[in-house]
Amino acid sequence: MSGASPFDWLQTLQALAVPTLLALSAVVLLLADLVLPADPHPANTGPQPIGGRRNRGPLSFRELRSSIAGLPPPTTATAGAASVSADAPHAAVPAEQPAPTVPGSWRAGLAWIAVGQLLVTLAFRLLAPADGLAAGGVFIDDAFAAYLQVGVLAAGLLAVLGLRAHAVRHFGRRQVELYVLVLSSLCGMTLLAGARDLLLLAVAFELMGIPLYVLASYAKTETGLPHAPGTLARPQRAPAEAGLKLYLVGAVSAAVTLYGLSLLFGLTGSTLVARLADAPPSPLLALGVAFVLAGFGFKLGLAPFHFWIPDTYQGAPTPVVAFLSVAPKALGLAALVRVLADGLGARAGDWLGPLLGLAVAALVVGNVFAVPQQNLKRLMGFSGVAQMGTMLLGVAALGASLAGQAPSEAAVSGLASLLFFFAAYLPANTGVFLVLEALTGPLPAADPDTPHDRDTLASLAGLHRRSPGLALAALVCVLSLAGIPFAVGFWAKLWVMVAAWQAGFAWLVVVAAAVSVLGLFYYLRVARAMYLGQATETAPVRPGGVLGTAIALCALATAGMGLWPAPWVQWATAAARVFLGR
Amino acid sequence: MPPPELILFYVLATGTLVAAAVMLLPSTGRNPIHSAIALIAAFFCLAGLYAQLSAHLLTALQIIVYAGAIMVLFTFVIMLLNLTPADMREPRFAWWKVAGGVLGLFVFGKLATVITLATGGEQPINLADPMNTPLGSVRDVGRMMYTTNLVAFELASVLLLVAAVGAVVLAKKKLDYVDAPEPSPARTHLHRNVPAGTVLPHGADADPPASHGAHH
Repeated sequence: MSGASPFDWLQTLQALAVPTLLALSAVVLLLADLVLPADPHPANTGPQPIGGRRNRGPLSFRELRSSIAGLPPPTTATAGAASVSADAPHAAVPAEQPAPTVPGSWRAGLAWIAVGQLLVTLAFRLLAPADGLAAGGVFIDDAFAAYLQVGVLAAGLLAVLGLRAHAVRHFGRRQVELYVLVLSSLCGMTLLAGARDLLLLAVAFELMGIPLYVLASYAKTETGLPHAPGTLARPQRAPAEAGLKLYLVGAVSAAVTLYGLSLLFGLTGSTLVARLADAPPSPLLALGVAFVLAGFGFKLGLAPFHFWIPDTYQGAPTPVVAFLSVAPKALGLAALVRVLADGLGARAGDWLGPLLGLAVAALVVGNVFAVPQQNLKRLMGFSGVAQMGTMLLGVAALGASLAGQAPSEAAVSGLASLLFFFAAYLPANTGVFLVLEALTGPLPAADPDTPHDRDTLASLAGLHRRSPGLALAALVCVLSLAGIPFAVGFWAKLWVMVAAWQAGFAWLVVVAAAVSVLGLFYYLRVARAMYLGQATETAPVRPGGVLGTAIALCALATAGMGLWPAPWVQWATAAARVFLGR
Repeated sequence: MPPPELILFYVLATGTLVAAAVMLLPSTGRNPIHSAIALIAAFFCLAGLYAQLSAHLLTALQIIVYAGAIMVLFTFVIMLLNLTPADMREPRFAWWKVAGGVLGLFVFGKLATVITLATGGEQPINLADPMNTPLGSVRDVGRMMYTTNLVAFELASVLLLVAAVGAVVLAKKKLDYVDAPEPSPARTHLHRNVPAGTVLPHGADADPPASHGAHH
């Protein structure tokens, strides 16, 4: 190449080490899956399928067509319908039929490779200095990014541990792809943590989101369910709905965001976030910001854009919901903060108003709609909307400070409280979903065509008799989410509200506190169901070692951070100071 | 007499809008192939608009990728689904559609106002005019792609890999057999050529049109 290249390879690779490690890990897992034989024990594969179709080999045209159209494959469907009465296929299954052998269950071992890769990446992140800048300034590896990356990697670790048992039980040969998708979504998130370029931001957002669409609909062709001999596992509608809703919302919001970003690019002629500060004030700028806010609002599930959340949560596998309910949203919010503070900090007065509106809407809608929910996943979905609204209070404090309406300490405390809130929210929310997985995951789906109506509050009834440990873990997490004093959620909420109060949003704090009372109500309903509800089941619940470890980690992190929040507060404050350059 | 570029612009813009409208009209929606053809027309007009903005690479890509590859994919999906008018639901009137239309018009009006204000008012803003800087040629795009935007470019390849993995995972249901017993050869032989859509195991959709699988 002639002339001086503006691209410094070494520096860029250093700054991007964590996302690169994650992407490489995903590829290694894929390759490991590829080179391993389908199954080392032929006895486990069961008889060959009907019609001479082998387990390997190219699909025929008709099979491809059926696969795309979502129909069962032709030959098998015919044979299955011939042997079973068409309207009640489940009736033909004897109740005492032994559980079918799931092919490829030996692949569960590959989960440990994913765990190892995540641990190595986490160790690298904690040990390596965080002061890199990718050439061209598209990515910065600062303390803010490092803090978020650590949180995201922890979330990924919990997700893999929580998914393992579920994958062995349900996903047979497809379980390795599960971890590949989690790792690649994490790769997108770690990039979002430090992206300073609109283009990189958009691509990283999609890299985070696309694996989540697949993960949410992963149970679409779930195996291991009881079904008539000779038929396929029935296609699942609720998971397909979950994935499709997430996908459509994600695609539309990506288009809206990109349109807004293109307007911003048109104003400055550069994709660098920092260059947005040079944009002249104009109605086009306001419109671009409005589009970006709306697009992010969809992705983050903020209030007027939240309608996909309950259905997606309900239909997606529970461990997947545990993953997609916290980390992607927090990282989306971090990316939004980067654009708003780094790029549009001088125009904070313009975006503060819409942001406050979004915060109030999220707080009110999330809390009010969570109250009547009977399904725990839907309840957690709506309460998650409210938690995002609380996090927006921190952004509002930051914005008021940048707009000059509040002292400059308000910016630091607003951003730091936001980061601390993320750390507090992550283990508690994940823990609740993992407890639910331990409880209802092993149950067979009642009816594949109806949503999983087994994840109800009633299914939690009497949990403390069936498994005192699980009930205690869930109690710790729920109390933290509700913001009971001396749980970590309490400190986080308190700090965010104090920051908003300092920034002059006393009315907003009053609103948030008022609707938090509703939060107290519905979170305590969960606790009441576990400790006071009349159990319809009495069999003890055994989550298994791996899932149990993940739940214990969540509960211990929540309890530990609540009793000893100081180091986390200091860490979050330091990260916020670095981000703001103070 | 307006300058020829302007005339060309209006011709292409009108063509894009008309083609897009034809694509969405309920009467053409009865036959998906008609919609697909209208979409091709819209893509070509868009390519012309890109050429007018001196985005040469984008023009070529628009024709090769969108009007070419993507449309072939669309046509495949339409053929594979093989929907007949009987399969499609009558478009029904709903208030939320009206509300959505009103909201869409509002956003469109807002956009039009803002863009008019920003570019044509008393103080036209300086758009830092990316159109006047050479951005759209193959050379410039290539340079940007491998220097300043290299990270995003490499990331896009990871993204494509992940999307491929996801698509395979969701589509491959053939490998998920569980304890399917071998049927008697006679039965397999008898039922091998029954059209695919006629009998489903749930029995819920047991009555698709008879032509559904007959072409194959």
